[in-house]
Amino acid sequence: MRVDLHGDITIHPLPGGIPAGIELKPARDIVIAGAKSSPHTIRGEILFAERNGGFFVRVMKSTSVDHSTRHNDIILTKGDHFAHPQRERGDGQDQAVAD
Amino acid sequence: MSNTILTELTQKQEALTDVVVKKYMEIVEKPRGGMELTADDPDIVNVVKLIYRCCDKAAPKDIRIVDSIRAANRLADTLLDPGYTASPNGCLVAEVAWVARYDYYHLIQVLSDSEYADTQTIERALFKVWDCVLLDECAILVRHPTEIHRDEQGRPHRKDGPAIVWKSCCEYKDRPGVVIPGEYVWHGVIVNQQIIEAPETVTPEQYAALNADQKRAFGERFGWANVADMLKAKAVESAVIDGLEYELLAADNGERWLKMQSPILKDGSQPYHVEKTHEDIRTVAGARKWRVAYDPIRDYWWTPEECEEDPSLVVGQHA
Repeated sequence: MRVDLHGDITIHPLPGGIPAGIELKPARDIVIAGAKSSPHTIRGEILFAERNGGFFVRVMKSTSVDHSTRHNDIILTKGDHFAHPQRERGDGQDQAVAD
Repeated sequence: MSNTILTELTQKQEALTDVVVKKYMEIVEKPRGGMELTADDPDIVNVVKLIYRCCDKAAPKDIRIVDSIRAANRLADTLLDPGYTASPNGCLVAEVAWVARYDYYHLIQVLSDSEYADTQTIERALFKVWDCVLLDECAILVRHPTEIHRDEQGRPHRKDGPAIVWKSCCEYKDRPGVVIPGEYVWHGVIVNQQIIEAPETVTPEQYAALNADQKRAFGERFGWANVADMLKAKAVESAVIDGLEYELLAADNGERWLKMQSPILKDGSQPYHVEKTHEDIRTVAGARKWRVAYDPIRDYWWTPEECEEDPSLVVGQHA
């Protein structure tokens, strides 16, 4: 398994592409986590669909993922990806790591 | 709209940038919470009128000055209809960055007096009002704090008390009788009084309820050895993977925790934090995999057993 990590966000490359049937919408500077506290933002124009607690993202041109306060930028290359929060153990069940 | 386009600054114009920075930095370096402030102060009246005008509303006649954001929320709750709650608008001190920039443009005459007039109304109020809760029939304005403590990077921070102190504070709504003197912040991370002033009283359940940044702050405040003791956990495996330190902690009750070192952050630090992992995880590599092992095509999270059987994980970028 190969991933990129940005704080508590995992980004999976999707070499096989986003599954057919998932409708993608255009967006600009989309916040993928930490909206109320310290946002992780994919810069520029992309196509996305929110699914299962994360985001399918289609990047047309390499861009950056940045963080408002702590984490340095990473690069999101052209192609399809899925971004989601990492998990931790809650009270007897799994939960998304709260940013 | 001005048609002036500047391609470079004169020495005098460059020097004015320091003047503007110094002017607005005074807001945090010399908190003005002690100054006298009344609802009929012209700067207060004018900024209220401006903000409501921008929202196509008539400014209310009822303007009240309170000592803290919590007091503003409490007052708003008493004025609102049942079922409604209010929160601060984040106006005024949060506007300082762009106001400072427009102030500078006005100083170097890129903006005329008339173009700067409305911003100047906000500028004047910035030095008197910290935040506001704006209702249809009442404008609640929060005076500045009396103390602001910061770390060497300028972030709110204090290790032995509230980083932001108000002139007076009020009770927590859900904890009657408990008066908190201000806001507790650890290197820019908002935490609660308990974490800063009584970390030894934090329970494992309270620790688990903290978000990632707060867990990090707590560990730095309390010390990670103390966190492990609090969790009644001992290290069962240590490893260095991709240059970062990891430790799997196991508690007598079967709980498992992964202590992780961060990659280098923007401020140059590499803090640790401790997160709870699955109780069936046995190794550092398994715990590291378990955090991220999700198949988005199948919408499937790997089980702890699968993560232990195949703990391989290639991390490309890590920030």
